[in-house]
Amino acid sequence: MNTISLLMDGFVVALRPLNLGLALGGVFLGTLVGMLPGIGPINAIAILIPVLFAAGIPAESALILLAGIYYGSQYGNSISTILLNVPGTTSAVVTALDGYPMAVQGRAGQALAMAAVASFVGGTLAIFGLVLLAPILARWAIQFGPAEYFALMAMAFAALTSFSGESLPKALIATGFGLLLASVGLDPNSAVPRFTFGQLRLLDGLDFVVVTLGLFAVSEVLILLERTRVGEAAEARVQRAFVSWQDLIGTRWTLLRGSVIGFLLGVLPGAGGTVSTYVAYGVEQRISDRDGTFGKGDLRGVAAPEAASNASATGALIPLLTLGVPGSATTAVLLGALLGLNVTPGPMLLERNPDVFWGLAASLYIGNLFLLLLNLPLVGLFVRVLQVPRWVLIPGVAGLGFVAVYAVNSSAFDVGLMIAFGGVGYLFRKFGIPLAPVVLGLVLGPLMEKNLRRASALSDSGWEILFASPISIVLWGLALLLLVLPQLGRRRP
Amino acid sequence: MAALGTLAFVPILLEPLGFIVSVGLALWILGRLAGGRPLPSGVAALALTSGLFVLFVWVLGVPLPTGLVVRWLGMGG
Repeated sequence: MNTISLLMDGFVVALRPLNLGLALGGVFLGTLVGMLPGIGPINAIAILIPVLFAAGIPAESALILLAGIYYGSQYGNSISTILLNVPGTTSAVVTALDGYPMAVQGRAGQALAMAAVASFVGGTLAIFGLVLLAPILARWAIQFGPAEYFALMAMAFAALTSFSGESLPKALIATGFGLLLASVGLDPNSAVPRFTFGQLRLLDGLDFVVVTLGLFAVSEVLILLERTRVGEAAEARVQRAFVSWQDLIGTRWTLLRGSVIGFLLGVLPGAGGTVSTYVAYGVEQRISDRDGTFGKGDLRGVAAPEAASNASATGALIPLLTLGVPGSATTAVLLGALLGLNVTPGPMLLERNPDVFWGLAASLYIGNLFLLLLNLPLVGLFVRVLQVPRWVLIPGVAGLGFVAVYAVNSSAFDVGLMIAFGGVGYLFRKFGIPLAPVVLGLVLGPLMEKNLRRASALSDSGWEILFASPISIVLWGLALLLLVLPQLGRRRP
Repeated sequence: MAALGTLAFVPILLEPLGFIVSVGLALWILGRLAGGRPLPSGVAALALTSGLFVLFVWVLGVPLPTGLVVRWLGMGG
C-alpha cells in the first residue's frame, strides 16, 4: 500500500469519536499544562500513564491523547512566555525576546495569534515530513542489529548530553545516574538482584513514572515554593487574538523557514526544541532584520521560533516511532508510556501496529487544526487560568503527583520513593545538573542493556561486534563528534 | 525544607489515615507555605483531594487507601 492510502486508513482511526475527543482533550490539556508553571508535558504525561491504564484505553487512542498534550504544551508555553515573560521551558526562551515586548506594547493579542498560527503551520508542515520520512527511516533501520541499536542509543545519549547544559561533566553525571537507576532490580539474564538493598519492592526495578514525577513534579513544587516573585501579566485584558491577512502574508517565508529548520533539527536526537528555536530566530534575524526591530517586538521574532518549536516537536516523533530511540526527556516519557501500553516503537511499528502510527499521523493533522481553532477564541479564558493563585496551583501539582504514583502499584512505598526523588531532583537543579539525561537513561537503560547482551551473545562475549558493521562505526563516530565538537567550540572565544 | 518534610509524612500516614486525610493535610500545609490564607487553602486542599479521590476511585476504579474517616461514613470504594 502506498503512503496516501495508509494515511487514509489513519484518518479512519483518528476520526473515531473517542479518538477525536481525545485529540481535542489532549491539545486543550496540553495548552493548559504548557502554560501553567509546575506541570509541563513531562509531568502531565507521567501522571496520565496510570490513568490511561486504569481506563483501559486502546494504545492508539492513548498515544493520540499523549501526543496532543505533547504538542499542545508547546503552544501553551508561548502564552505564559508572551504574557508574563516566564518561559516554562527553555524552548520558549527565544519567543520571549519579541513576544514580551509586544505584550508590553499592548499587542499581546497579535503576538498570541501569531504564535498560534506559527504553531499550526510548523506542526502541519512537519507532519508532511513525518509521513514521508518515517517509512524511509523505518525501512533503513530494519537492517539494524543489536550492536547498531546499542551504538544508536549511545549516540542519542551523546547528543542529549552535549546539548542539554553548559557543563559536560554535569550532563555526564546525569546520564550515569539515569543508567544506574535503570539497572536497579533483577538482572534480566541471571536473576541476581542489583541495588535493591534487600527491598523486595525494588526487585522489579524502579517504575519510571515514580522517578519522573519525583524528579520533575516534586522538585518543581519545591522550587516554586522558594520563588516568591511571580511574573506580572503585561496585558491581562486580552480579549481577542487575531492576526491580519497582511501579517500572515508578510510572515509566510518566516514561517516556512522556521518550520523547515525546526523539523530538521527535531529529527536529530538531542538537539530538538531549544536549539531549533535559537537557530530559527538567528537565521530570521540575519535574513530579515533590516531595521533593527528584532528584540523590540517584531512579529517575525515570534513567528520564527514558534514555528520551529512545533515543527521540531513533531520531527522528534520520527526517531521515537521509527527507531524507538527518543531524543528528549518528553519523548523518553512518551516511549515509557508506549512500552507500558505494549507498543514497541521501532522499525517494525509501521508493520505490526499500522493503526498506531498512521492513526497518530492523521490525528496530528486534526489536533493541529483543533489547536488553532481552540486557541484563537479561548485566549481570554487561558489568560484567566494563568491567574490561578499559587496556593491552589502548588498543592494541585503535588496532589496529582501523589494520586498518580499511588495508582501505579497501589503502594505507599512508591509515594515515598517519589518524594525521595523529589529531593534528588531539587538538589540536581540547585547544582545545575540537567534532569533530561536522567529520564533518558532510565527509559533507555534496559533497552541498551538488552541489546548489549544480545550483541555479546551473538559474538561469544566479544566486544568487537559493537564496532563490526559500517553502520555502527558511523554511529559511534557521530556520538564521539557530538560529545567533542561542542566542547571545542566553547573553548574558542 | 519544610515542604519536603511535609511531603515525607504522606507515605507514612497514607495507609493508616487514608488518602483524603493525609494528602488533604499535606496539600493544606503546602497551600499555606505558598502564601495562602488558612481557610481558602483548606478549602482548596479539601476540594482537590476529594475531587481526585472521586475521579480515581469512582470513575477510574483505582483503589486509593480510604482510611478510617471514609470507612466510618460508609462510602469506601
